Amino acid sequence: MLTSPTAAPAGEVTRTPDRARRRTLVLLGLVAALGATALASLALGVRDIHPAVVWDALTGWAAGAPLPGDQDHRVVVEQRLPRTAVGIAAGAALALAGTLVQGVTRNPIADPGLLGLNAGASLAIVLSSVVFGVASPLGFIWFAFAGAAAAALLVFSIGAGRPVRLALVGATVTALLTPLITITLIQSSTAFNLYRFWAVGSLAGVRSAALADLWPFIILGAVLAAAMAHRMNMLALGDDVATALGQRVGTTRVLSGVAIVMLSGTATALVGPIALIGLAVPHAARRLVGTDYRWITAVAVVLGPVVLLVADVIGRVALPHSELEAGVVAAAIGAPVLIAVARGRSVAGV
Amino acid sequence: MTPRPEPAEVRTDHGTTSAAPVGTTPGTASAPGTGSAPTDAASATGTTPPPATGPAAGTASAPGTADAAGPTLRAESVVLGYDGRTVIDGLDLHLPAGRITAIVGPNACGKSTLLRGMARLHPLSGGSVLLGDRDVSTMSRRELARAVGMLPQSSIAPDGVRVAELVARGRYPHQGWFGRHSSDDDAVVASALAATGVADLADRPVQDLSGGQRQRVWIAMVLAQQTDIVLLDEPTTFLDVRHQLDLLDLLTSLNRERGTTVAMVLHELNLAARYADHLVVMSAGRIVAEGDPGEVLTSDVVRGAFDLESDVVPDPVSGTPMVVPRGRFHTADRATRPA
Repeated sequence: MLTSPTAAPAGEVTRTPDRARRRTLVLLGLVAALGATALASLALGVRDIHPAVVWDALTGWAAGAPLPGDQDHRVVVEQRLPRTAVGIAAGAALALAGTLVQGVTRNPIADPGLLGLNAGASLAIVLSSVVFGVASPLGFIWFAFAGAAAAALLVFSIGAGRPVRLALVGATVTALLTPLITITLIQSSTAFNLYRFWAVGSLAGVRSAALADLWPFIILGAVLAAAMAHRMNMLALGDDVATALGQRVGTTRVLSGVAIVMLSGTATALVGPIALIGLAVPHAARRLVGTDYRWITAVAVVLGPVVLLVADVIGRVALPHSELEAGVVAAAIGAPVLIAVARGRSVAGV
Repeated sequence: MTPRPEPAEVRTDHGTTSAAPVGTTPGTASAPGTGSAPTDAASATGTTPPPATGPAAGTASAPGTADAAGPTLRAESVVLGYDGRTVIDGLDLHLPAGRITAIVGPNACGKSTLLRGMARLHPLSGGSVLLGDRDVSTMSRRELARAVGMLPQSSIAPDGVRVAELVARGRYPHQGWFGRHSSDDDAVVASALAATGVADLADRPVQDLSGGQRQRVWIAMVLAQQTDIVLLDEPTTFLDVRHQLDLLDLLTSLNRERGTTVAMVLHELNLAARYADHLVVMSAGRIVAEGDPGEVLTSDVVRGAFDLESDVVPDPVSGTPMVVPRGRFHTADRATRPA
């Protein structure tokens, strides 16, 4: 094996043009797919609206024209457009948060739920209904966000430092909170009605309006996630190597934690705990572009919305005259993806 | 008992008089302080990369000259421990610039902890580590990582990561937040791959490689870091004897061609004595002897450090001391006794 080293021309060794081109093509393809799914999300639904009408409604809205009395126009602009926007934002946020959680814990089965985020948000929603009488999804958004953040803070403050400890503490907090949620739900039917629609994970309903309040968290979280991507590459080599390469590992963990809370907290508050996107999308991204977190992050931020929107659109058209929640469809899509990835060899490549 | 030609340096100069052997290719010049006679294994076995790699290596880190051996790294009365339990209590160690230092000692003597402390991977409870005349605790991690490379024992190669990709991560301390690759980075990585003899494997997933190849890849990553000082924590553990020699030959040629200061924790006493310019023997958190291996490694030192009876004879290949341990069985008088 100690043959005379080949004098490879600089550049070719580190980045085979083929692979670089492949990654770029994958990313461009996904952006195109996102465009297509966004259009589908605007054009398809329980109500049969002709594409020309959809186009009219959108161009009219884009031009700032006042809404005509036409019911079809209203559905497109007031329901499908915000719903698509929420789908893109929440899908990207869930996928980014999942990527960060897996990177920071070096745990291939980690998702934001592992850090107790979903349990925290659930408990906050249930309590907001029982204690403060919140009755609509729009009212509990901030409670959900605060609950997710509080749970994550608790988990991070106890489990900081060691990935394994983080996962253990997250599981413990979830196990502690879940019975509390159940007890409250058993005793209050109003809380139960509110909770069950959120917990299944859906893009339907008035939650869309909350995006107007919460979008800065998603933008901030996404910027932070992008800045963490290269640090994840070092962290993947182990804390010692990352430190020896000049990274402040503790800072990386804290900043990643902040980004995870912002992204996952917002997405969970908006669309409910749709776990499989945060879990499956990073794996699929890894499968598509390899182990470099900068590419994984770039792909995840596009692939997440594609999966969520596709799930939502399928849910809208699968049943005649009614809808299947995106959370249900996402699980149906995500599980086979995960199984396919798990059967491949790069599953542990975090 | 002193087979080495040149005067031994025991706890003396550090970088002042040591003429760093740089730019020489194995076998063409005898580097001071290493006792490299023509029989030196490094030049005789032919396993070192051929001299042709010299220029390639030069493109990455210009081979330092004797005066450019870089600053020394030294620990001054350092205290190191775990959870209140002190392992090392007030220890001084100077790593001579441009030389190879090997640290040996029994399990749990604190040798790895010391190395980790010097690389700032383990917090100091007291004392200081100085790079030149700067306290490393005043430097940013990134700044330190541009001066001191460290290959810890616990390194993980993520599944699917390719050799060139892993080596390129050694450029991290030289890059900005988003790690944009420059053509300069590419040249350094190519040179590190060539110098460690893994250029052919650049496109292979690291997990597909043999243990020896993998360890070379990690060394290449540390080389891509372009530091004057490289610390290695048990780099030969888990390698078979041939690959241990391969690796130590590689480190020797890097030391000679680039003037890199190398310090490593080793388990194998005889290889440590053969490859080190400066041998440090530790026991129970203290340095019991250090200096030229020919002077340091004696039966008394081995007994003191390892609680082991041994004969120390000249290594027939290198002339350096060779420890032949005595156990309870298999001594010559018993072996010859008729059954």
